[in-house]
Amino acid sequence: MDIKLKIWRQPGPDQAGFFEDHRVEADPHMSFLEMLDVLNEQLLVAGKDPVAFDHDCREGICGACSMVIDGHPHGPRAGTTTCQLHMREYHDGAEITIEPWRASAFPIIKDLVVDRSAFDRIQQAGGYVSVGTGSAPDANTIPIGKRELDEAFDYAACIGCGACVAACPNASSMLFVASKVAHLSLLPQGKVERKHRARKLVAAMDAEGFGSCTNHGECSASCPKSISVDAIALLNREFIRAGLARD
Amino acid sequence: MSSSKQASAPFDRLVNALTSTLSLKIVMALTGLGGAGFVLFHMAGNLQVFLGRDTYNDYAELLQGLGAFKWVARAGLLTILGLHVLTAVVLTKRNQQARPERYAKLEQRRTSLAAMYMMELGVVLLLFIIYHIAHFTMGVVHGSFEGVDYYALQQVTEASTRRDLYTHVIASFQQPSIAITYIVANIALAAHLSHGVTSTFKTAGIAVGRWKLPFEVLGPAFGVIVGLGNISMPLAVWAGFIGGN
Repeated sequence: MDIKLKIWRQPGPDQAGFFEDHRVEADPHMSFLEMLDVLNEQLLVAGKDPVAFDHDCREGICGACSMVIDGHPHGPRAGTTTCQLHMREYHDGAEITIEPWRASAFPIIKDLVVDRSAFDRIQQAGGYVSVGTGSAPDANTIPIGKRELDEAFDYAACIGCGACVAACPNASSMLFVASKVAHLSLLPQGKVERKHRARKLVAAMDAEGFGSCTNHGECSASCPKSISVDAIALLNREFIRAGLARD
Repeated sequence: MSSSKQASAPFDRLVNALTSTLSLKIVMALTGLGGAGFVLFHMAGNLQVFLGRDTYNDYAELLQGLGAFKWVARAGLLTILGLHVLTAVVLTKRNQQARPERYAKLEQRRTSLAAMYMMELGVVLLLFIIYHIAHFTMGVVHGSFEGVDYYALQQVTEASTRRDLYTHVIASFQQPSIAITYIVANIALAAHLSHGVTSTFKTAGIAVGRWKLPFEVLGPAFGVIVGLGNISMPLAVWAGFIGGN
């Protein structure tokens, strides 16, 4: 299949970016990233600079692949990372626009690659538990309700890809922060830091320059793990709790 | 936690608590809720225009006669409005700074038009509030038509004078441009409320799980009720249902 691409090219962080047109002969069985691999081989053969893009596991669990495809982070399929998107989603002759995540907290390094270390710094500010974990405990030594467990697991599914920020009209990272807070505050292991976690994570989020949530729900609609926007209301609840709590 | 950093940081904590994005959102939510409560009360009070001249003017006189309480209420409403606008400006600025370079194309999957244009709707409403106060509260704009000063005190009985606000309302809404202004502003109000009221309960952390759907219905329902209630007045005047000869 003949695919026309309009790809964002940017040589470096402080250089001006622009869209570049390319054509690729793709196979319907290829993943989206394999299609880009084919493009890059073409570019290398022609002695041109290949398109830089992030990728790692290519099985939908690492959260490295990050690009806005035709106005949708991770492309048109709901609950799917870019690497799990396949060319059979497109028709022969399709025109596809590819852009990087756009947020001041995710500065562009090159082409489609952005620096997402802001997420690491937020995580370090409080997205952890400080209990001694040791080796895996015996099953059922800590009783946890089925509902809490299921909910915590849903929020723990966040792979930190940043699609929530990319999709948000305000470039807010609330769904990411909220997933961490909701996940950890629902489990007994996360109770130790519960009073401070929401406050510290929100302060870190603000310091990175992310926007604020205006309840569009675009984050959840673009999340490759389909994390519910309920997480944000839970974060708000935890934040109010933390504000009212005494040190 | 015995670290001195935490013990010595009550001021930092206070500053953080007051400037945090989430704190500002809570201010937006609380002031928005106050405003929503007011517009509901305001609509209910003004629907008395359907009950005739005397009922409506009695109600107006009752409110005007509240003395000190009236000024406390006005100061409270002004504070609520001021905080709502100020917080909106700060948050909108932060949001714009968070994405300085726009996408060539970003498609929305779930949000509503009302949600996308909350700020623009807010600007429309702020301008309308200024006009509305100048019009019906102060009578400095559109107080008189064709040489008749509807805002002036009328000799109602031999002993007393009062403003015939009922007739002012009727005469105003008989002007198509004024009626259209009020109808358009109330469509903006309905849209602003439909997203805002639901958002308030999400920001408060209440609209989760089983409470999510009821609150997602509440916002649009509230917006439609207040919007239709208010629009019914110019429409009724226009149709000659009230104030007709």
